[in-house]
Amino acid sequence: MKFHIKFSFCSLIFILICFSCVEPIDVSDQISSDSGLEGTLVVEATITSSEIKQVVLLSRMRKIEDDSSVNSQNQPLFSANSPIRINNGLGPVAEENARVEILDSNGNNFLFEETTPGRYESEDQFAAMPGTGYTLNIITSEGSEYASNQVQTPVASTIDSVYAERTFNDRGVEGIAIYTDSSLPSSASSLIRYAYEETYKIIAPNWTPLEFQIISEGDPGAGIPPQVTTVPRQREERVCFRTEPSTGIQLTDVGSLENNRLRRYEIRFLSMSNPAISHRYSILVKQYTLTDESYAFYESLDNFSSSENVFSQVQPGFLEGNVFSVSGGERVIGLLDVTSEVSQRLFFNYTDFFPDAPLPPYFGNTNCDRLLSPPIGDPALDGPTEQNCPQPLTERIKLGLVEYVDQNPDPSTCEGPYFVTPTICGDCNILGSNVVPDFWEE
Amino acid sequence: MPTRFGSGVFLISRVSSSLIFCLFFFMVSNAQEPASLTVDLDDSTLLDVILELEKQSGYHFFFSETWIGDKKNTLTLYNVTLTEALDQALNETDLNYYILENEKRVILLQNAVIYDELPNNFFVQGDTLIPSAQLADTGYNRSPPVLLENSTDSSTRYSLVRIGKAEVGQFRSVFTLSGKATNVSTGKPVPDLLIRVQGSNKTTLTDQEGVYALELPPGYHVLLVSALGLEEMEREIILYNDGTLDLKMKEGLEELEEVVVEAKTLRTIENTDTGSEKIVLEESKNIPLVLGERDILQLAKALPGISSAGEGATGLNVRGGKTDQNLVLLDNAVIYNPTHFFGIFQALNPFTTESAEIYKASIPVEFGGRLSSVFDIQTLNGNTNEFEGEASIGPVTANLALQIPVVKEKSSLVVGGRGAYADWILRTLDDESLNNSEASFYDGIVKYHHKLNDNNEIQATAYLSKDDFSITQDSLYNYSNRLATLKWNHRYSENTAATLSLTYSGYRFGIDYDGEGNSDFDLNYDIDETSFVYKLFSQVGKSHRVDYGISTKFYSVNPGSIEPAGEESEVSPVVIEKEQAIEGALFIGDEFDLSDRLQLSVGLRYAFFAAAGPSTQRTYQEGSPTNEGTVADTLSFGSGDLYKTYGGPEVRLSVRYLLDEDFSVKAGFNNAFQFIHTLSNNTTVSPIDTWKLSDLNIKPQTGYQATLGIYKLFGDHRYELSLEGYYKRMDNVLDFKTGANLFLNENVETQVLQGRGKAYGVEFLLKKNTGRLNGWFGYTYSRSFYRFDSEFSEERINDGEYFPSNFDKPHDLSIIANYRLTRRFSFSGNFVYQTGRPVTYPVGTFRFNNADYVAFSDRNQFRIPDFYRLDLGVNIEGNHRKNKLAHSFWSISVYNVLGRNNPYSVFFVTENGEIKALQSSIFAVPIPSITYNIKF
Repeated sequence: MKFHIKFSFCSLIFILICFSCVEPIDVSDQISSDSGLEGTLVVEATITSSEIKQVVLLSRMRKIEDDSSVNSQNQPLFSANSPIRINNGLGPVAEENARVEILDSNGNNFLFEETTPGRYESEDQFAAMPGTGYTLNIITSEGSEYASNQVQTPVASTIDSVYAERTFNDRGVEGIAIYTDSSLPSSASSLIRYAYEETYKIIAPNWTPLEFQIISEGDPGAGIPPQVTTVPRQREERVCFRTEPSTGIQLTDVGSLENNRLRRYEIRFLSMSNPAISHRYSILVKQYTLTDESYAFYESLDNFSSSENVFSQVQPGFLEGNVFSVSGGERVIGLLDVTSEVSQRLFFNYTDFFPDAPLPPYFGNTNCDRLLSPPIGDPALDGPTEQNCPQPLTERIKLGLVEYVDQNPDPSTCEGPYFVTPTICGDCNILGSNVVPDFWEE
Repeated sequence: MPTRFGSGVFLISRVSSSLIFCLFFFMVSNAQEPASLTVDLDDSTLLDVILELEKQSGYHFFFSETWIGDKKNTLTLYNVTLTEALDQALNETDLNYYILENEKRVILLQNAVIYDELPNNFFVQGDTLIPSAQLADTGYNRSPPVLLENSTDSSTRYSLVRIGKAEVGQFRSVFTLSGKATNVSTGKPVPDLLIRVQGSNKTTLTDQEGVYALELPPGYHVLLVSALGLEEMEREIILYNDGTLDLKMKEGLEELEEVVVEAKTLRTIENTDTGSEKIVLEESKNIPLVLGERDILQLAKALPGISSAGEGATGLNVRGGKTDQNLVLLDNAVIYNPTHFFGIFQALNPFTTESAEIYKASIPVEFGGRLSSVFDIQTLNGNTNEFEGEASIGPVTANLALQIPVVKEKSSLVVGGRGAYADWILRTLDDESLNNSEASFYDGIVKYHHKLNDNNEIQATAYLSKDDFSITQDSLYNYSNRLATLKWNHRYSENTAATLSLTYSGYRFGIDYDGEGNSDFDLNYDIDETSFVYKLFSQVGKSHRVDYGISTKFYSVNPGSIEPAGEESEVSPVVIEKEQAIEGALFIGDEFDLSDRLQLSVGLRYAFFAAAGPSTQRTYQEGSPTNEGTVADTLSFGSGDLYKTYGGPEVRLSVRYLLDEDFSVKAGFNNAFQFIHTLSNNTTVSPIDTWKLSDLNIKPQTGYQATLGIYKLFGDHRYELSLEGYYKRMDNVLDFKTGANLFLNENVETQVLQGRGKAYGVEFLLKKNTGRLNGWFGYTYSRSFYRFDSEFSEERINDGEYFPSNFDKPHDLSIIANYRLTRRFSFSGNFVYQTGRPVTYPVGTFRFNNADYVAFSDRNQFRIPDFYRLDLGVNIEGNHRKNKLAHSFWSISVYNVLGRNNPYSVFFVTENGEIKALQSSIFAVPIPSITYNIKF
């Protein structure tokens, strides 16, 4: 039996902290990936025990110097001045037009079709069955063949409960911790990976039932001012929902526990100042039992991408999975992960835990309380102007930067006839979707 | 001076000790003389005999009564000549005689011989003494008369000593002066004392027992005697014949003014050893170090060929060897982790540590079991006469050491204790995340040393070090070393001595996990070894110095166990099966001179290892990789079964050729076996790395090294230069499969790779040992590569090609300098430059599981930026008044004065799905510190 005990260190420790430091650096000038690994096929195939359209993702590895995100400083996800969602990195280079199929040990064949570039879904729904082995076969559009080892479906586990508690974390920050209690039928398969999907309600703080409509843009050269009016909103923009998958890798080995029961395993900690918990929050905890191979793959992936302590790092190397080139020689980063999946959902409100506390700050550190009143360019409506007044209202509306809040009956210098707010404060669709998810319960 | 004037006694005045004449010219023959003297004296002094002879022969005797002792003898002479009678009577004294036939006078002389002719080259040579080598060259084969000149040094505190008795007809050009050096206040022998003959290149060192021997031409010599911490001594001697001169050394008041002991210099030239260095801990006192801690291991890193992966990296890499290839011994017991705090501080108490002998090559035959080096660290023997103590307070640690005499002149106790109090600093910091961190360590040592008699000496040492640290709230880490040694030195005869030692060492670490769930546990690892070494030393004939003996060792390893902690824990206890083994060796080594210039040291050591049951071992299918899927069989071995043995001969060979008295060439070759390995999948050492014994599937590491070097002293021995090259090969060194799981793994062999290493380099070291400015300059060019090849891709690293090791730093330059302004103030500096170490950089990015990751390929293909650092310090000694109760010493230093942000590592993390390149550094800013030391 193998034991997987992770010695995790915070990155900064003891006294040496006063002197030691960890800081981001720009390594773009030092790295040149001429290793021939550029364009390596990356295969992420997760076949779960749920009866769904299973998904295989195919992509190609990027040169590291192309991926600006490696060298970027921490970019805020949301910005008040450019309310456009910033994508993480460049995104993968999709591998398109490949032929993907899964074979099981009973002779069944499941074909996959490409739904979006690089994303292949099974034509029919199917579930990984206990006691069955699965193999993945891929033929790329260039004709290269790849195959996986046969993987047996591991034994399923159960989630006994998912619950949240108000607590303090290691660093003394107050917030809400989400725990699970789980059981496994036997120690035959004791390796567990957790993932979650969190969905939360977003309420735009400065929402009003009205929005701007530009009647005419005018002609500043001819002295014709633009004309703007307010109309009722066309769509739901006050209450939205945002769903995000987990990105980290959470692994645990229950085999070392008696009765194969895991208690109070912390899945997630949300600090009091996390805007996601402002109103109503839901988390779907997914518990996967893994094969040894999958566990080892995820473990290495995690070890190579986290800093355990200042003094020593795990020696990284090539990440070998269970997908190989049929002709040999070519390297593949690939995992066929056949897992038993169980999940449980939890809902809670901010006020359940913090009845009297103020709400967490809004997303993106935007100050929604500060209202602006940009001039419209019409001397009749604007206040007194001077040389350097801010960007006029119509330009901002066209760029989607502002939302209507109120009339400004008495504009002062450089102000216009309306009070406005950054779009993010008035329209929740910037942050999420106004469609209520199927599973949502109030 | 009491003198008698009567019965022909003539006063010979001793003018002054530094102005002596003893040259007489009498152009007289000592031809016929009257015969027939008969003396029959019982229990009489020499004076009685002389008076009797004076009476019978009618000759007048001239002598000083002070030359004649009170010793009583029996002398019976019948019908002899005066010459015969005097020969007999003065046989056992240091008196000579000269008979002035015409004047019927006999002149007695102390030591001297009166020559009745001038030496051949008397007028040519003037007052220059002829070195023996030159004598041999010119064919001059007669002892020159002893010519004295006025000493110009009026500060000499010792009177002139006459040694030996000249013999007529004794024309040897060289005599042997020998003796023993002892410390007046402690009575202990003084080893490594440098004895230099003024005006010549002759020098020697005392051995461990304080004994020295020096070959000198007869005549007047000035011996300059010096050692660190002792008052320098200047002795004038007149050498007439072989003789002894014991040196009583006083402790110096202005001790510790130099960084380097001069004594080492000669050793470097004359020994056959290559790649060995000796560090005396006091030397490191003036060298600025981080947080003011004196540290022998840090100092070692400033020497060529010794490095570590970076600041704050535990473990030393010696000449391209891995960190598990060093045998670190404290009083002969292995110390598995000689550091505290992730390698920032040494776990050795600087006050109780006497010295460290470091062997990078030419490892003495008594040591074995590691491929790369031996650090032989010795604790000092306590003062047997007076109570002594030393204490220091620094920013992180406090230290106190005492030397307590137990039986005067015979035995003493050394007690040392050191503790860190870093917690309060952590708590006062503003960072909340550190409020729950703690880090503390301590170490303690007790040594008892007892000299039973001249032939027997025993010593016992007990040592404990412990570290505790917690980084997250829920885990507490701890590790500890414990050692005990018992040693008996015994001299069987003049030529044979033996050392018997029994040692125990243990290393353990644990993790106490106290989290929120039901998975709280206590995890433990420990390794214990008990060893027995019996070593003999024999001087065989004049030129053979033979070391031989036997050593055995018993290992017992608990490779890991986990137990539930607390009532709510549901962790099921697991204990990985114990490992046991016996390691032994028979060794013999001989050091001998083939000629005056050529010395050879030959050693042979037969190393033996047996893995012992009870044990369960797997075998794997031939021709397939070692993994879970290729298990062929599982074998069970009962208690005491020696289920796998390894062994072989180890050769230790070195040769020295003296090109000149201060210039030598040396070469060496040695091979070694290593049966114990560390398991670590980190790029640097961590305290939770485990040690694993060789077994059915893990073969011992083997290696060999060849060295060649030249060594030169110049500038009146003030400068020492060495240039040494080496080539090293290692086989079956351990590495690990990517992402290996090593701890609590019953079948570690499935994660282990064994491969080959090679290293080569050139080391240049220039030392200035004396003077106001002293220190050293070292430069090393070295490379080290490893290769893990196999027919199976999972057992290959970098496609089976050689790749640079984590500590491959081709250029390494160190300067250590110390400038003494006055006796009380000195400045010191320390500069290091190293090529950045290799790291594994990613070669691409990919998305997996909703997050971006980097992919790695070939190991160590990139390097982090070069490392350089300057440290400066000022040392202020308290005043040197002799009777002051205590002697204090301030040390103020700034580590990393330039504030260079030396990267320790560059790594890539995925946080919130995004990749970030991060650089860590350990000491990124200048760190000032003040340490106060007091000696009493």
